[in-house]
Amino acid sequence: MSMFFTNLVNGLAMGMVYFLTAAGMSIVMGVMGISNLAHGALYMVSAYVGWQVFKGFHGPFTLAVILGGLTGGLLGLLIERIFLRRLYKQPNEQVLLTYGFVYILTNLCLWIWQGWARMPFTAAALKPITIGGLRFASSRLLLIALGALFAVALWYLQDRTRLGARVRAGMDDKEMAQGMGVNMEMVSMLVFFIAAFVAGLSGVLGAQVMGINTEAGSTILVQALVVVIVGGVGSIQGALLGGLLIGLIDTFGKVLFPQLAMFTIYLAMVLILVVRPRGLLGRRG
Amino acid sequence: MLAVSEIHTYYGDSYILQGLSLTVEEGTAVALLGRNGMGKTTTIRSIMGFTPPRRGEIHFRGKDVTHWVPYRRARLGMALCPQGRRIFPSLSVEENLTMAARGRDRTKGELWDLGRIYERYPVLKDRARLKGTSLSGGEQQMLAVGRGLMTNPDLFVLDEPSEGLAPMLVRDIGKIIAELRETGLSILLVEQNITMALNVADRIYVISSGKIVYEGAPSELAANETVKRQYLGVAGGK
Ligand SMILES: Nc1ncnc2c1ncn2[C@@H]1O[C@H](COP(=O)(O)OP(=O)(O)OP(=O)(O)O)[C@@H](O)[C@H]1O
Ligand SMILES: [Mg+2]
Repeated sequence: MSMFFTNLVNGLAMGMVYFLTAAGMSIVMGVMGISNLAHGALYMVSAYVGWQVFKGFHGPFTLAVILGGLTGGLLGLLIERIFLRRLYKQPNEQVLLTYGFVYILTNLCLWIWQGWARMPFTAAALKPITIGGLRFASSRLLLIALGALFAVALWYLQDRTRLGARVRAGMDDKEMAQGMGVNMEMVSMLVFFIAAFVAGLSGVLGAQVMGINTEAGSTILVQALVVVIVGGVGSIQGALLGGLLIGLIDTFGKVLFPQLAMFTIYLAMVLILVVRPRGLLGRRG
Repeated sequence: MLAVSEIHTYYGDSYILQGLSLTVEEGTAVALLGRNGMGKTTTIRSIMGFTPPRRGEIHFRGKDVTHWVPYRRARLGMALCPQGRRIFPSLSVEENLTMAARGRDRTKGELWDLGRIYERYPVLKDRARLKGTSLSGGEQQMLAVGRGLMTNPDLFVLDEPSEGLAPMLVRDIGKIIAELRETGLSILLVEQNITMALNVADRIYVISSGKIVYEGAPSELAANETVKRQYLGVAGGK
């Protein structure tokens, strides 16, 4: 039984990392029609920055998270402003360009931080928490709490604010939104920044429990893509549901059927797509 | 207010507007009439900047806006109530109204805000939380009008607001437009419903194959059987 709860917490924590990474990717796809394959690389660079601040410079963890987020946000904005905005409605070029950035950023990390993998880094600093006689890693509980907080914040931003309304209007009918006087390019920039910022945050939050290496840019990308597809493009709630589901399936899958490894999440993806081709909470149309 | 001069507009290789000119004087309502596919919506798309003309000029409130992107034109004081209404389906009725709401830099007349819109069109208030596209056709038309008014425009462009509405609702929409004209708002109204256009407009243009073929006062057009028959498909004698 205690194994079950430990795995539940692990799965949810992992799910939150997937959610935070996938949420931005999903919204950027839905709003701007951009497939940004460098999204995972932003996660990776930010994770290293977070590690550097916390372990390298012994800075406070909060600062590591914030600087990680800003690194992701600013790098993302730079990629969007200088390159991607010239490639609107050109999906093939977007994919090639952004995958190029995966290599560039991976090599940048190799150059700055070398190839050795960083271990999870908050475990020693945070005491485990005991609930009902079971001990849980507080870093993971923190991650679940922060993930839930961001889920609420992002949902509020999307569904309850004027910026969110403009983002949704842009997804519905971009031309008409512009005809109403909305500067959609500005809205897109903001969305791109927020998406990359959250990916950066999740990089630091993810690395503190899972560690980080120079392959993360591609591995987390694939997992985020699975989450976006399962949850449905353009939906925060979908990313949350998809992220938690994939996190749990992945964790329990590895415990129950270790020989299948990553295969379980793809199997889950295929099964969900057969039943719901647009993903669990995908936008119709 | 608005001066369109000699515009030529294309969709790819299709040459649609062929040197079209029209003006809307401040505080007047101008109607643009014409049969299906003659270029009415294309004229509006040129004015809004969705499909800018390749040649010719568009001046709005004294500025040459020919090459401006749509959102800047809208912010200078153009509002569009488009053909087919184009209500944002993911937005609630209230969000449709507020998503682009703006004040106005000039103080002229009363400002439109949510309170005033709801007072004028109470049905929108009752349905505020519902998705915009869950409303009936007539209600959606009211929403599209309200959405435009919430930007407090100087020029309101309406593209076939009576399309697909029952005769009674057409009369309601006609009344709403006439009321707006009374407030001093400049209006460009595209219509196929000639009766409604003749009732609300100060000046009429008729378009055929991308060119203005007639311009005159409503009373003159009402009496001109040739133009009505030839360009508006109105059976003679009526
Ligand atoms: N996106 C487009 N691409 C190519 N041709 C188009 C496009 N939109 C319209 N057209 C053509 O341009 C011409 C003018 O169309 P427009 O929509 O301006 O007509 P309209 O007067 O508004 O007609 P309606 O009363 O049916 O709305 C038509 O022949 C139409 O087929
Ligand atoms: Mg039309």
